[in-house]
Parts: sequence; C-alpha cells; structure tokens
Amino acid sequence: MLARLALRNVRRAGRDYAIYFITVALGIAMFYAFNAVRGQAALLDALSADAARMVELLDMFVKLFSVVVACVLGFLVVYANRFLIRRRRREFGTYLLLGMSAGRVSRVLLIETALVGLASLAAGLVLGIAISQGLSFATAALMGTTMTRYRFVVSTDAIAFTTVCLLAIFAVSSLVDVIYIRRCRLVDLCSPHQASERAGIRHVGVRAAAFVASLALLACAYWQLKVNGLQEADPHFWAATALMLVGTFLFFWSAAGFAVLVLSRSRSAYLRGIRAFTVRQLSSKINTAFASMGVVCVMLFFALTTASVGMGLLELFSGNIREATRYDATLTASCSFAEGDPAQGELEAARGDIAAYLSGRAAGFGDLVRASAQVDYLACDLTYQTLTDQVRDASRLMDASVLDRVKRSQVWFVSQSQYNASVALIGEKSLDLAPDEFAVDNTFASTNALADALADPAVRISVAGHDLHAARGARHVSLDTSAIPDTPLVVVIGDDVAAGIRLRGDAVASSHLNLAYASDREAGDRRLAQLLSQALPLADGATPASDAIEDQFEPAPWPVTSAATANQMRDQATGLRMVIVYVALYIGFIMLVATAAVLAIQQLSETSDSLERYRRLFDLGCEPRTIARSLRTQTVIYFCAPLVLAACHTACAVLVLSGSLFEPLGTNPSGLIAIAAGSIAGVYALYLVATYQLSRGIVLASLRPRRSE
Amino acid sequence: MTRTKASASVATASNALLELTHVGKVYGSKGALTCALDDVSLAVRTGEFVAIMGPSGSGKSTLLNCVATIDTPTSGTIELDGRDVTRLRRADLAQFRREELGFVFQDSNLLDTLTGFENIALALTLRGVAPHEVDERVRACASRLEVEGVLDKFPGQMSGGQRQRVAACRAIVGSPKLILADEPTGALDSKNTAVLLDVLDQMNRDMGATILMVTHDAYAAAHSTRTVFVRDGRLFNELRRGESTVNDYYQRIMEVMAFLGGDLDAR
Repeated sequence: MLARLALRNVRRAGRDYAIYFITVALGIAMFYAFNAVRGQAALLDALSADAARMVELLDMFVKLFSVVVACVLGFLVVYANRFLIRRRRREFGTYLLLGMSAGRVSRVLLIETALVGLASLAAGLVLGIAISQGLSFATAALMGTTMTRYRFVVSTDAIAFTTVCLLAIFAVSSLVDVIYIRRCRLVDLCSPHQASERAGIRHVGVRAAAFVASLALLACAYWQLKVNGLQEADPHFWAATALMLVGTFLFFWSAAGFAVLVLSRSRSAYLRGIRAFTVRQLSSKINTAFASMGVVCVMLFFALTTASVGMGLLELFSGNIREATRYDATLTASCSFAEGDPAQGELEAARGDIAAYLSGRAAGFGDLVRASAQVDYLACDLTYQTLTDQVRDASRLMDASVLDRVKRSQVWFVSQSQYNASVALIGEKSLDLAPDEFAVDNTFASTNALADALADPAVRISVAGHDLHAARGARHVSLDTSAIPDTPLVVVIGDDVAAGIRLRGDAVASSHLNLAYASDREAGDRRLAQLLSQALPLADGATPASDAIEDQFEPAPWPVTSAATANQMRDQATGLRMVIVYVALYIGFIMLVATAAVLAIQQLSETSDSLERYRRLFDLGCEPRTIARSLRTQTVIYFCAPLVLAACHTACAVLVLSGSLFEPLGTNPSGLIAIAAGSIAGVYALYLVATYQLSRGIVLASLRPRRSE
Repeated sequence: MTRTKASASVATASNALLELTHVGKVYGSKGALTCALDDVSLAVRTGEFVAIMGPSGSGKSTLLNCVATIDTPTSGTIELDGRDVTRLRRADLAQFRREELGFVFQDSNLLDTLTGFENIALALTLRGVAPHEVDERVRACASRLEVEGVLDKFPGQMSGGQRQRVAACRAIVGSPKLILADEPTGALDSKNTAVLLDVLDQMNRDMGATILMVTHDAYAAAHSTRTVFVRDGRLFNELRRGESTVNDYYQRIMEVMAFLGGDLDAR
C-alpha cells in the first residue's frame, strides 16, 4: 500500500526529482569510473613495474578521495530531500492530518527516495561503465602505451564499492529525513503560507559601503597572494586566505544592496517592465542566502583551481621528459659525508672512480655498459653572483626569487674532458675551449635565459689562479638522467683549471656516472639492479622493499646515493601525470557538480517559495513570457555570480602560480587550462538550463486559470 | 461629484461601460455538472460603484473572475467598452488585464520584495509607460491617497491600512476603465476595513473610478452606489443607494439579506 503510494508520488513528482536524479547519477558515474581505473589498467599492454605502482598509487588516492566524495554526495542527498519535503509539505501535512503516523509518512518518503536512488544508481552505473571504457583509452594514452587487447570490462569491485557507498549515504539521509519529519509541526505543514514574508533589503547605503570595502579586501587578498607567490605557507598566505574568505562573504552580503542602489538610481533602466521586480527578487534572494553563496563560491574556487593547477602540472610533467632522460641510466653520489663516514674512505681509495669501484665489486659491470662517463661537479667557494653581476638586467630574464637563489648558490665546475666524454655518450658534439675560455651548459628551464646571457666574452671569472672569459653561445646538453631537465648553469673549464680546483681535498660537490647500456634499456635496467644489489648489498641482508631499482642496494654518499634510469623516469612521469590528471578531474568534477546542484536546488526552492508573487504579477496583467524571461535572468545571474567571482580568485591564484611555478619550470599550461575551463562551463551550463526549465515549468503550471469558488 | 476621465469612453447604445449578457458558467463533466452562473445579465455604467453580494458558493467570485478574464464563461458575452472580452485570444488576455483593469485583492496583494513606490509603478511599467512619466504619475496618485510617506518602505514595514492604500493606488494609477475588487475587506480588521472603504469611496467620488466589488459584508456593500444580490448563480435583487445615507442604505441591504435567508456567509 505504502509502496503503491510512493510509486505514484514519484511518477507525479518526477519533475521535482530531476535535479536529485541528475546529481546522484553523475556522482555515481564518476564514483564508479574512477574506482574502476585500476581494473581497467589491467588491459594495458606492457605495463612496467613503475607504471603499475603508479596505478596502485592512483587507486589509493581515488579511494581516499572517494570518502570525501561520498560525504559530499551524502550532503547533497540530504539537501535535495529537504527541498522535496518543503515543496510537498502540504501533501505530507495531509497524510499526517488523515491520521497516518509520522513513521509511515517517512516510510513513504523513504520508498520514494529509494526508488529514485535505485534508478539513479542504475543510470549512474551505466554512464560510469561507459566513461570508464573511455578512461581506459585515456589511461593508455597518458601512460604512453597501447591497448591492443581491449575488451569490454566491468569492475565488480567498483560496482560493489559504489553500491555500498550509496547505501551508506541513503541510510544516513533517511535517518535525517525521519528526524526532520518527526520534528515538523502539523500546523507548519498545513498552513498555506510560507513561514514568514520576506522583507526587502534595508540600509542600502550601508550595503553599498560594505560592497566597496569587500572589493578593497579582495584587492588586498590578491596583492598578499602575489607577495606570497604561493611558495610557502607564510603569514602573507594566511593573510591572503583570510582576506579572500572575508572579502567573498562580504561581497555576497553587500552586492545585492549595491546593485539595488545603483540600478534604482537610474530610473530609466529600472522602471521598465518587471525589471524592478527581477532586481528585487534576485537581491533579496542573494541577500538571504549570502552565506551559502559564499560557500558555493569558495567551493567553485577549489574546483576551478584544482582543475587548472592539475592541468598545469600535467604539462609540466609531460613537457621535457625526453630531454631529461637521454642517458640510459645515471648513478649519483651526493658526496655529502657525515663526520668519519666510511664512504669517504672508499672514495679516496678508489680515487673517486665509481665505475672502477663497481667493476671491482660486481664482475658483470663491464658487460652491462657499452660505455660510461663520470661527471664530477666541482665547487670552490665561488657563488653565481660573481657571474650574474656582470649581466645587465639579470632580473629581467627571470623571476626575482629564483635569481636570488641562483646568486647564493655555489658555481659548479666540470672539466672539459669529463664533459666531452659524457656528451659523446648521447652523440652530442664535444667542446673545444681556448686556454682562457669557459663554457656554460644549462638545461634547467628557469635559468636558460640567464645561461644565454652569461655566454658572452665580456663575462669574466677568476678561478684557481686563471682569468677566464665566457665562450660565445651557451650549451643546452643534459649531463644526467632525471625526472626533469636539471643541469644547472654548469661552468665547463679546461682540465688544468679543474686540476687546480681539485687540489682542495673536498672540491667534488657531487658525482654522476652516466651509463650507455650494451643491451636494450629494459634488459639493461634489470641487469643494473642485479649488479647494484651485488656490489652494494642491503644492510643486514634485508629483502628489497619493492622491485624498484632504488630499493635494490644500500645507498651511501659514495659511490651510489641514488640511481635513475631513463625507463623508470619516463614511467614515473607518465604515471604521475595520470595520477594528477585523474585526481584533479575527479575532485574538480565532483565539487563542481555539488555546487551546481546546491545552486539548482536553492533556485528551485526559491521559485516555489515565490509562486504567489508570480501569481500576483500574472493577475496584474504580466505576460507569462515576461515572467519566464525574468526567471531566466534570475537563474543566470544566480548561477553566474559565484562562478564569476570564483573565476577571478582562480585567475589570480593561477597567475601567481604560473609566475612562481610554471614559468620557472618552463611550462605554459594555458591551453589545457582553457580545456578544463570549457568542460567546467559545460557541466555548469547543463545545470543552469535544467534549473531554468524546471522552475519555468513550476511557475507556468501555477499560472493556469484559478478555480473559482 | 467629479467625473474626470471616464465619461469620454461611453460609447455603447445602452450607455454602459460593462455589459454582461446571458452569462453562464458550468463546471465539471457530464456526470456531475455544477452551474456556477446561470443566465446573468448586468450593466455597469461609467462612474458607478457596484457591489455584488451573495453567500459562499453563490457564484459571485466566478462572476468577477469572468470579468477579470481569469476565468471564461461557458455562454454569453461580457463587453467592456464595446469589446467582448470572452472572445479575446489567450495571448491578448494579459495585455487586456494590464491596460483596461485595476485590481484590489482580498489581502493587499503587494509584492513583499518591492517598495511601495515600486509596487505602484509596476502597474505602469507593465504597460510600457515611459520611465520619466512613471515617477510623476506614481507620486501624484500617492499624494491623492495620502501614501507619499511610505513610498520607500516595504509592505512589511507598513500598517495594514497603508498597505491597502498602496494597493488601491496601484489599482488606479494606470487610469483603468474598471476597477475590480475581490472581497477587499475579507482579511481586514474593522479599522482597516473602514480605511479601505474610505479609499474606495474616494476613488469612486473624487477620482472618477468605476468599481465592481464582490463582497459578503453588508457594511462594505453600503459604501457602493448600487448593490446586486446573487444567489445560486442567478441575479436575485438589486438596491440603489440614491440619496440615502450610508446607514439607511445599510439597513435596506440588511433587509434583503434577511429575506435572502439570514447569514450570507454560511460556511
């Protein structure tokens, strides 16, 4: 009996359930699609150990954020139910009046929401399975691999996880609904008018002043953020955050009043059709809901920033990986010894030759490499300031904070013979310096321009008793394999000068042994791992934590602190890229759907609360299409106000970030950010249109001829 | 009595502004027909203040709604100034309402989010009156009905009487041919009832408005120039005030009511 009533109600109130349905279905679809990524990844051809670990990492992140997503969805379900109850309060009031117990009324509602929930679960899963098929192709592309064995898979794990989460959400929301209905007073449910009449905005002047103040606060916040540069959480950052929050809320508290003040002054614009009504309606709505507008704006800001920064980082990690990984492998010794470190003795005994040391400890080393070249970075109490001071307008070439750091670091020297041996491994032409010349080599994006400026014969340096000037034309050849091109303004000097520096005992700042395998990279990586574990066995015979190369040996300041192979770096970069993109998409999308749904529900409840006002307008002879137009304006502005402010915040944050992070690292993510912005606008527009259509339907239905007595 | 404007528009042969001819209204389907109006004919001349009285369910509100074009009769014609409103196209109804009619509703029916000024101005802006003219006309009308003081207030900040005056101002500011009042005193206490009836009187006598009012309150009807009684969908009787005082007129209305069967408001 109750079930029949519920079924009929759902059919009748189908329209009211639309936003509820769309939101839960979209949420479920995303939930499933991202939780199924791991299952889908099994289809990929050639997934290396590193790539597989990245998939694991992604799965962990997705599971973690899924909890957040489930909470957001739960909140939305509760919020949407509240709207449905409010809209149908007279119906529920009638049930109660007829003597139905509150428990049975909540059971009707429970069955209704369960029906809609099941429908949206089904729709969401179908959509999610479709999306996840697309995602597996995206995964293949992001991981730089192919999927020749594609077949349609459905992840039962993900379905189970999704269903369990949805059930939990429903359990919580039903509990909240039951409590809400039990606490409702019958007289409130049955009274024809909403609780209280809403007054217009008073003290418009105060609001207008507050509006100006809010703009000033936001300007201050932007300025503080620029000073902070989004590098560290210093007082500037917290000041910016606090100012931005206060400014945002103050903005929504006062914007409506300000708009009314300005618009109503201009009589000729204000006194046209029902424009005054539209302005007042909107302003009183924004005015009463300013807090939730503020929250919506902040959430949108997070969604937009997550998506944009994610896209920016994607560009960063995919940009120069090929340039960064030209050597098959690089073994690095940090040479930063603790007091009485035994590794220092090893270094002296082997005269600093890593390859010779390893060959002596593991017999196969000679077979592994076709050729190897060691590059020692030498230092001698000289900072880059001596060089940069000779460049005019160095500050014009790069970010001030980066320049400052460069100036304070020690100059790294590399001898010509070591340099030439290393670049020969990757087929670059060798360097031939005149006796009084030095060369500059750099691949680090943020110092490229400075390197070019330094490679000018006018730039001079005095080192180890030699006066040198720069050779014309900077070099941009990598001296190691790593995640990003990171050869930093290395100064290449003649061997006699280098020998002079080496006279100081601790001149070597770090050593890099670049390898060219005799075999292909995959076999070479496996063999290298074996040899390293043989030459540098793990302390106390521990078993490796994973099969990654850096877990196979005992690291020491010398001979090997870290090992990086080209394949490993590429897999990690692509994997990291995937993790970033997926997490940014997942979080950004869910936040977006959540905020759009909140706005939609608010606008719909506003519409049903205002039906009496529309009815009055209609009775006064206002055309239904004029009313619909007013409704459209209201919906568009109501949706766009928080979006525009959030977009301003995001633009500020992304610009600052691009100054401090993207530009120094040499990436320009504007294209990808534009794509992210476009898809966000698309989802937002979907909600906007759906909301307008629904509220228009509600209003026009209420304007049908009134039954006379 | 000053007839300022409406006299110019008297054109029909019978000299009537509003003319209902054999109007009928039937609700429901074949099985259960309800006859709300049964062959009602009525003429209202320019400058008249006509009250329609009848008990609940007598059809008096249906009659008003048909004139207001909110409802349509199933038979007969309703002519306003020679134009048959029952034949208006759906698309023209809203235009007709905002240009020819003014409304005073049971509760003041002001929009709570608009100031007094904006509420009154709405009647003009809806008709597309030029903005500079709106200001002038609203203020002129407000000063006649003594509500200039509350033009910048919201309905929630006004007294009940002020709200009714503002609503009356909104009804008359566009100089409509006919003002319709639906149970205007129904939701008011006695003090505000008196205020509203004064305003209606003033609109009728000083501003030349033609008013058609539906009421079940004999005291309200006693302010009209003519009272028409409706019962079971038919016109039953009619009283003219003539030169009698409000009290005499009230007594006469009460007599008809007693004859009609006591309490008109038998709910």
